[in-house]
Amino acid sequence: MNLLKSYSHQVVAYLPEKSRDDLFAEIYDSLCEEFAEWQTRHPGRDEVDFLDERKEHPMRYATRLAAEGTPYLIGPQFYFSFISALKVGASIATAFYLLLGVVLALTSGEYLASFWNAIKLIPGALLWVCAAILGVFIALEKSGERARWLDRWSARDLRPIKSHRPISKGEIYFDLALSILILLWVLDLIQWPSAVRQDGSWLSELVFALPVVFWYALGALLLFDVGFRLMCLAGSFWSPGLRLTAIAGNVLWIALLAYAAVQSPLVTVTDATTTVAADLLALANQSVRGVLWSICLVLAGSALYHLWRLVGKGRSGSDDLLAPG
Amino acid sequence: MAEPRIDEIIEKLRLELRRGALPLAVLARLREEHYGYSLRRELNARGLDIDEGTLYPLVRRLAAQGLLVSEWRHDEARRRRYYRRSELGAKVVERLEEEWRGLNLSIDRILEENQS
Repeated sequence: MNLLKSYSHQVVAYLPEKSRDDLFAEIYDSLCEEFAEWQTRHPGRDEVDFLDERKEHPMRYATRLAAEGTPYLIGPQFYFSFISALKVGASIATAFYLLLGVVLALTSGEYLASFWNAIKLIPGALLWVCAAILGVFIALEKSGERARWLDRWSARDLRPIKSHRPISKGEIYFDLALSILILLWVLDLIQWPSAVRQDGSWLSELVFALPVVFWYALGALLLFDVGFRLMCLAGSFWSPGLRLTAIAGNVLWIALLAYAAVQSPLVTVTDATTTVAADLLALANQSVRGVLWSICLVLAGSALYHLWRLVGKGRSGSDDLLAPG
Repeated sequence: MAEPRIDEIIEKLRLELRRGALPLAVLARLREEHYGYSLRRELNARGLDIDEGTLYPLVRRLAAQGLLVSEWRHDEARRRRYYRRSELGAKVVERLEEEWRGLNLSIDRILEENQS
């Protein structure tokens, strides 16, 4: 029943999040029963044949579930296609300017300024893309055109899935914001306080005593993290591929942070001249090291959780919407 | 401007016609408890072909209006929502049934006049 589950997921992915769980259960149950009945009349034929013969494009199905019959600027027939086009258009525009930034940075020699100049163009480009897509869809709606591209759908496009735990968007947005902030810090575009004060004594100009290769690896991992979070935002459910990528990412992060945590000294200062300052410096090292190990623990826990969902009994665990069919 | 196809017009009007009658049929059948697919099967068996894309929004709307009560259960390793008519639903069906019979009579009369 994997394809039926996959089809039900695709339908509810277009509908409001708060009603998805219940709708999924009802649609999936109905499909399973209908399929079982259909199979008694068509022995030897599978879910693909059933879906192709009896069901329409998931977007059309979702449209009927959501339709209220009121006049629209962009009506139910086109609404989900419009939202999908906005997502794809925005992703392509953002990817294009990121790529442009990288190319300009590598060719001009002024890495940060060139990259930043390209990034600054993204909001304007997104506005133009959204306006163009909106214009096209309003024209389609007003012309009375049908969404013909949905006629070409086949159940063969669906991929069987074994898990359908939804991705928490809030968690992803948090991780994305964190990765971007750290990336901006690594690129020296934003500054964090680099001083520690205790009992009236100050340590200023705190810096990490780590090799250049570490910073390159950190930058690469942060870029990977941003890309991965964007992929998660585009999807609605955790697929095995996404879980594997999350595990690989966490393992790389743990390796990199553990490498930093075992360095001695980890942080140092340019004016550590007094005894008090040296004590404070040791304290700062201890604190940063503690933070790094704590992050490693959290990442390890997250990796183990993904592994459990992927291979263990968590795949059909009680927090899934329902047991596998 | 191109003339709209007659089949499309009839299909739209047919849907509108059925849309008004379906709540009555659903409320009447839900005198007994049913889940989505079993209700659909019951209606289909009585000649009222209805797909789940129409049925589910309808039962959700009726439940939101307090005309149905529902309960989630686990059957055959799946979550299944059972619906039943509420007391308010039963009263509404009685009134709607009168409406329906009156309307039916009137439409029949009009159609007979149309034929003569």
